[in-house]
Amino acid sequence: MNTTSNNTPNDPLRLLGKRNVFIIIIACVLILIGYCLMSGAGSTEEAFNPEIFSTRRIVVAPMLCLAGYLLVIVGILWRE
Amino acid sequence: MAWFVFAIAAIVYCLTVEPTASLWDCPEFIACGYKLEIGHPPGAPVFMLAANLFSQFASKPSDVALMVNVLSALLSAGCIFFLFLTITCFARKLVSPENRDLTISQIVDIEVCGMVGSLIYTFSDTFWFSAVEAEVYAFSSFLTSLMFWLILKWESEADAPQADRWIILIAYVTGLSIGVHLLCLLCLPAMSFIVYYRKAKRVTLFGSMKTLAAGALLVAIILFLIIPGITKVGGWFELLFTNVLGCPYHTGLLCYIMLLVGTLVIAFHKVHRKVWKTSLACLLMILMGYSSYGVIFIRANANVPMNENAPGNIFSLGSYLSREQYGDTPLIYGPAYCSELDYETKGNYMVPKEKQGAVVYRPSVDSTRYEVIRHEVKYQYKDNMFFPRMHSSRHAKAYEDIMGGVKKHGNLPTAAENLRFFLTYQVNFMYWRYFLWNFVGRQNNIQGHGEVEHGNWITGIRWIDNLLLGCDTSLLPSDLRTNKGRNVFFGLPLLLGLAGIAWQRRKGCRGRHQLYVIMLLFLMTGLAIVVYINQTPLQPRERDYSYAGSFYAFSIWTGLGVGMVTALLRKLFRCGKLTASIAGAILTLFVPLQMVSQTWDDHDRSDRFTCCDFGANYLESMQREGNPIILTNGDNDTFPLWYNHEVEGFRTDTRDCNMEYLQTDWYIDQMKRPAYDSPALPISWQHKDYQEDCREYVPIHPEMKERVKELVEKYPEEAHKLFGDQPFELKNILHKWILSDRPDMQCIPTDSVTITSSEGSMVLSFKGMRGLYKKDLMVLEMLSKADWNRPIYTSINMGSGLLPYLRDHLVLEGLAYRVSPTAAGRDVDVERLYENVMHRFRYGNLKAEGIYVDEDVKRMANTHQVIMSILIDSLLQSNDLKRALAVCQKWQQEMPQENVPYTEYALSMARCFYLDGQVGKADEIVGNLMRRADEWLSWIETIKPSRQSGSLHSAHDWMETMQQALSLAYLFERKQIVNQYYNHYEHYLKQYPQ
Repeated sequence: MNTTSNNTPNDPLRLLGKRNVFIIIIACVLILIGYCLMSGAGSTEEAFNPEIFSTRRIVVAPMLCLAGYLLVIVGILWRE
Repeated sequence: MAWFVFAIAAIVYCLTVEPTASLWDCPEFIACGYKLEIGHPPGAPVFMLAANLFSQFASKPSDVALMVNVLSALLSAGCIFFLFLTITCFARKLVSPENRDLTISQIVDIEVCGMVGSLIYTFSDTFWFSAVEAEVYAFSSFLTSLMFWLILKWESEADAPQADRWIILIAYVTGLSIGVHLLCLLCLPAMSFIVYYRKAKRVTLFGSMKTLAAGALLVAIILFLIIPGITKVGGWFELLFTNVLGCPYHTGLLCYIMLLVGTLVIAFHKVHRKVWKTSLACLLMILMGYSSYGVIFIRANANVPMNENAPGNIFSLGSYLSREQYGDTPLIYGPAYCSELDYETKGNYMVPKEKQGAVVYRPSVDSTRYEVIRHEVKYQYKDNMFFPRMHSSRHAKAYEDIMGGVKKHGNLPTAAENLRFFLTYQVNFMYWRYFLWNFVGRQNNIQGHGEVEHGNWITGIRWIDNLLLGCDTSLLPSDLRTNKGRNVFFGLPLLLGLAGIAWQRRKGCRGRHQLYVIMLLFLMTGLAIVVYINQTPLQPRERDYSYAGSFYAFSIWTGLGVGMVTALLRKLFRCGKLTASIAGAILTLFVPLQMVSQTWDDHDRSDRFTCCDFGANYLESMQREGNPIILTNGDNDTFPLWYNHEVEGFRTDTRDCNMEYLQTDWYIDQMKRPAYDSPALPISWQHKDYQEDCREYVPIHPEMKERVKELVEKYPEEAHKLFGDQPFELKNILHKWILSDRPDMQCIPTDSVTITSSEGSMVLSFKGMRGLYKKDLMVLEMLSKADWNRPIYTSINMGSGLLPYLRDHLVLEGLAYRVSPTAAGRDVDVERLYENVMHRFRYGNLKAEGIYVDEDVKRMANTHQVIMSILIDSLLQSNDLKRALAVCQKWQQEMPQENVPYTEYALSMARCFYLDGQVGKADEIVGNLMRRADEWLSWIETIKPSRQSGSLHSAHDWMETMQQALSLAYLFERKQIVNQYYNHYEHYLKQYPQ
């Protein structure tokens, strides 16, 4: 049973260490930046917007998102 | 060792991968990954991101498909990797339960268990099929095997302090799997048993029941609470912020996400009990994986050309995720196919009783708020039963045919009949048959509907197969005997699997616990799916790919069977442990090797470019000027075209318009937007006119024609105002009647309309039709607005039921007909057809020797041959022998009969050769057809009468072919052939009365 406080840095019963949480936060930031880069104006009834397939939106953004999602795995498994 | 197996699988799959898109949903997935577009519900955003990464490695657009296929191949190899580790983990516990140091013979045993089991799965039919194409099933298999291995990893470290990070990782992978395919959730119950067996001080029946319930509850919570619930609550926030507070769209959604995540994170910090903390962490991880749907949401808002269901707002996203497009099937209690609707009086009419369900919101037309467009409606039925398995009224005839008549009690099938359908069709035919394909043997790669000659399972042992199929398999026609999909394993993998089960049972408590875990996995990913999806007959394709998880579970057993074999050898031959292990290894490794010798030929898709080329051919069938539009209907004449547009950028001046989707408002929205070089389709309706639930079906009232004519005569001025100058002109019917705000005028007051233009006037007849669906109205709108400036084509694969009013106005120009006002009946534009067939079409490398042509590819190749035959006949009719011969030469060059066997359409070629005096070539074709017809008909004779009825269809087809071939031979006085086969034909005429 885990009854000790989880604020001790080297608590072996701690679920996710400081470093782990840090990595996961970085991953979340990456994902958010990815989604921001993916957004933008779309095509309308008047005109087709070729920007919806710009490098920023379909190359850089998804790679950042994927990197973020994979980094979460690293964050969970990271062991000092 | 695990890496060795990974390498074998990776090399095998990468060698046999398809170099371009495959048929069915693959082209859609590839385009979705490459350009982040939106495919069919429920979407697979995590797959999209991974496919996007791999598509960056393509040096040119035509390699994108190859890269995504390689992704599937590598993920499948990854699945094999974890399968190996899983099997060896189980084997180790059985071989050395006290965890002592392993002797060499024990190591050999364990490693061989892993090798045999994983290689059997590597070379099995269903898994290999999904491994070499761009579908989500390879990824989902990988995640399932990863999740299962992770729980075993947890189990090995369960007492260590940081063991729970494996549980959190599993939760994250589960979340990610929501963005791939929900099949992965099905391994959670089996995994919960691993947790139970590890953590429980004493295993009891009651404890097991509780664990089972907990596992099922976990799946239910994720499937029915979390996934739909998240979007539902998001909807409430959107309504609050946008409708009540007047904020722009998506403000509420952002606030909701921040609130949700914030609350959970704070709770995570505040809570101290390990169980709660872990649970919250797991929930956060699941939501993290679920957040991948942000990709879908953001891209839908960009209005990409492929934007199914346009899930760009939380409400559309909700219905996208719940796959509303496909409807739902009753499970526990509901109507059967013959149930009658319950009616109630409403005013002067009897209307079907409806139960009003949830409200459906969509963005308003002025894009400032959300408005209610309709209520969910559920029809009430008078007759309901428990566990209805024959539920679909659309398939009423199919149910009766398959069952050979259904005994009913009133308006419901009896419980016994219900059960019979469930067991014989849903369980036996649509599950166990697939299972036996993978572990015993497969008859051929042709889709079966119960007939003896297609898609059954066989063993390879003649007398067993004769009994199974009720025929003489030694007389199989050469077409079936040489079918590459014929794979026989003599039941060895099945025997190994059963041996594995027996071995586990013998190994005491531990073994039995393992047995239950794997059994639960096997059942959840197999029979549980059968129960849940409540499948209807007449599926468009075989559905074995859904059950790959249960074949995975069985492969674990086949691996463990090695232990039994070794144990038996030791007992029977009284040899040393090591000798027995090595002998067992040699014997059992033979099984996967024998398998691959059978399955390689029908899974090697290398060098085949048919999907891409055939899709391009549909587009090239259209003229190059005027930005033509093509109307298509099925998956295989729509997705390859989308692939050509989106990925290869081919003929982006054209537009493909799918008739099924044309019934929906979000698709019509897409059609009204320009895409690449193709301008918006000529549709002038406003969104509110074709919105969901509006003008879905408009009745035709031909009896009103006379009254309209009377009114025009008597009151010409009012009539002109009301009906327009020409009352039966299509544009007036559309705008004055169908688009009218008066409900009594929203109909078609005639059975024929005219389209007048500078090219002349064209009359469309609706005789015999009772109404038109929205998609028909859209087609008519396009015809009336295009004014023949924008050519409109219909794909040659459109069934005769679709667009019957255009039937007499079509000109064949390739794989599509052009709608033409000047056509008389069905014309052929010989020049255009010739140009297309000879110079513009590509044939997917079908001429390559040894290339694998499966049934679907063969069917599409046959479609090409049909139009070639029409072309040859037309050319011969105008005495253009030279060009007719050129077409014949092209046919034989591009689609040699070794790869695409002749059909009766090849007789046009034969006639051409006869007319040219090339009797040898012509005889070869005629002789080929006659010989094969003879083989088929003589074999069908050997089928037991009780099972013959399914094959009579084939018999009649071959009789037709034989008769046509004989007539041709007779016409050109080919006495030898006629004499050779005429008696046979007479004999068969008596055998198979027409």
